[in-house]
Amino acid sequence: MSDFEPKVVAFVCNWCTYAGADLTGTSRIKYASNVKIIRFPCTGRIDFMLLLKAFANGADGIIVSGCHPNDCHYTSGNFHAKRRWIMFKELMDFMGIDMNRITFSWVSAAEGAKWADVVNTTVARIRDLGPYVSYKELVNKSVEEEVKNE
Amino acid sequence: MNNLINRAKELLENKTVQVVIGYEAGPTGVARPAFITDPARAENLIFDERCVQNLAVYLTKTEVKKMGKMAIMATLPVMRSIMMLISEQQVFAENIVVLGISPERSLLDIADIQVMQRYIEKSDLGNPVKDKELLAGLNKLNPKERFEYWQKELSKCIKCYACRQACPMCYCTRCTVEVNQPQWIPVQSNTHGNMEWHILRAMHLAGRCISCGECGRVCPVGIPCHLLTMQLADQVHNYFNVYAGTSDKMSSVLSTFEPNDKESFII
Amino acid sequence: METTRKLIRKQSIEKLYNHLSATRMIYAPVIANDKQVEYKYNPGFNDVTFEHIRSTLSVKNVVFPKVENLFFYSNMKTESTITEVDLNKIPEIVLWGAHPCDNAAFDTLRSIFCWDINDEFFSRRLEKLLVIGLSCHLSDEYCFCTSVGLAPDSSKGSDILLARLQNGDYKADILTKKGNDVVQSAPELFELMSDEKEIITSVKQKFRHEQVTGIRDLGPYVSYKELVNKSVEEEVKNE
Repeated sequence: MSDFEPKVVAFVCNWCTYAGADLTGTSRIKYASNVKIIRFPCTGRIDFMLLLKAFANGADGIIVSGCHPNDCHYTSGNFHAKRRWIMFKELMDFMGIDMNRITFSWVSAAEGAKWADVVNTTVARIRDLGPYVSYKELVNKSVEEEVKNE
Repeated sequence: MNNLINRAKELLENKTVQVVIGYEAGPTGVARPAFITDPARAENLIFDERCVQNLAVYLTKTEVKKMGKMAIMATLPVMRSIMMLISEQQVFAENIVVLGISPERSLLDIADIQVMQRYIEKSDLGNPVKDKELLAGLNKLNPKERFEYWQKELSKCIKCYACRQACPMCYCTRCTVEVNQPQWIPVQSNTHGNMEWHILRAMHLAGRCISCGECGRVCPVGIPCHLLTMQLADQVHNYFNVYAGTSDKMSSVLSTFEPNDKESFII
Repeated sequence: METTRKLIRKQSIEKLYNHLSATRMIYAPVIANDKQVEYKYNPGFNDVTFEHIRSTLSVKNVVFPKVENLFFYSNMKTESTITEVDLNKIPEIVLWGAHPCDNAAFDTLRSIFCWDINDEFFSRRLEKLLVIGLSCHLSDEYCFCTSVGLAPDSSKGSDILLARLQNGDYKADILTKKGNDVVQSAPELFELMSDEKEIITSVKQKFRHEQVTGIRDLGPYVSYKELVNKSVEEEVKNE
């Protein structure tokens, strides 16, 4: 295809996935470099609006990742996050926002290989899907166009 | 109807309540909310097919609360709203008297919250039939078609926030949209910002919406925004097997969890 | 400019519409699928409605858009570059079929936007606007023109004011130079006025002028300072 390189934003929790990503690096495992990692204390802190802002600012794909259930550093943050993502996914599906572009995962601090795998699979999938044109068009719709389409 | 008027009069004369919140006929033929403080005015109370507003929205308004104890005419959606407000501790059971109205338009004897709870549990708590059909129609489309549909609808939004004002569950004294550090939702009404607003509203109502449909009805430009919140109300029941507004001790769906909540998409 | 009265035959109305839309954008009322009346840019003539009473949203949008670019900026380390919007690019727009209650409001808006500082964004749009008003042959209980000192056939704010005649033709009052320029550009569409009667609805006055405007008769001109001081004195006396 073209030279499209997806831009992927990863919202990860500090204690598991971030540490896991660190392990991926120290183990010298090669993986796609298209990911920008944003570190949160816990997945429970990730506001769903942030995912939308990521798309609005040019992301083509998103990864959201945290501790496995029962392993949360703050005991239950990831359980709350899970419920929130279930509802968010349903709403996004209903509004037609492409949920194939978001990967949710549990990656622990010991799973360096899994992190590389999650990133590589996601980037490959986004590369196939192409840039998120319809969302970018929505955001960049100029005021003049809006006015003309009234 | 007479039963209702007499009961309202009685409550006011005995000073059991200081205000009766109900419906009265407006000057152009619509029904509008009424706040009766004088027993003689209880005659103005009506109930017919024009009375659709969700009166529970007034139970959290300071101007109404400071009148004292409140009696409120309540159809099933209003009862569920009251139940939600009690479970979120915005309304206290000892401050209100519920004048229940059955679908056949007769006065129900709702002595206390437990009686109201039993009445609610016996009722059909799914989305209204015509909205079920609209939702089914939308769910049949593919995601791209749905995206176009919602873009077209939401481009009409003028950010009047009537949907927020009509909803009994939107009682936050400082709403997210009124915070500008950070500005989550842009103030201007371009399509993208409008979409973000409606997504935020639907998510903040997840597990709290009782499907009264007021938000969509009051929209001045005809956006069916009630379908967003009703879709999530459906999904809350699908995944977590609860309906909002069924118990005063109900815990908030998105603030609690079960360790074995099922999902199929987290790898 | 003195008002002149012309006749536009029923079949010439579509020709006038197409003549105007050849060189300008047209903002005209259409019935949206949910039976609401909306103003849209450049609808086909067959979609335009002449039977509307009020639109869901006001036509203010044509001079004061819902969303508008004021300027562009970009930040680069310590410098900001500001790019102004080129107001010369504002196109000529025809407001077609708006009723007197809407058209009279442009003057009110102008007095606010051009009060002490001239709002260029607003006034340029107003300069480029041509208003083809439509007097009302229909009304309902929510109409308010007579309560704010207007009438279903008020000419305030229109460049050309159309009124439907009994036989389906239209009377056209040419009220301003802009309107006259339109006549000169397509004189064959504007004929000598006939004796046909126009159909104008009647609107019951619901409010007195001072109820709507809050202006009471203050007597001879009182300066604002005196007015403030007078009220304070009265309040003190009435305590």
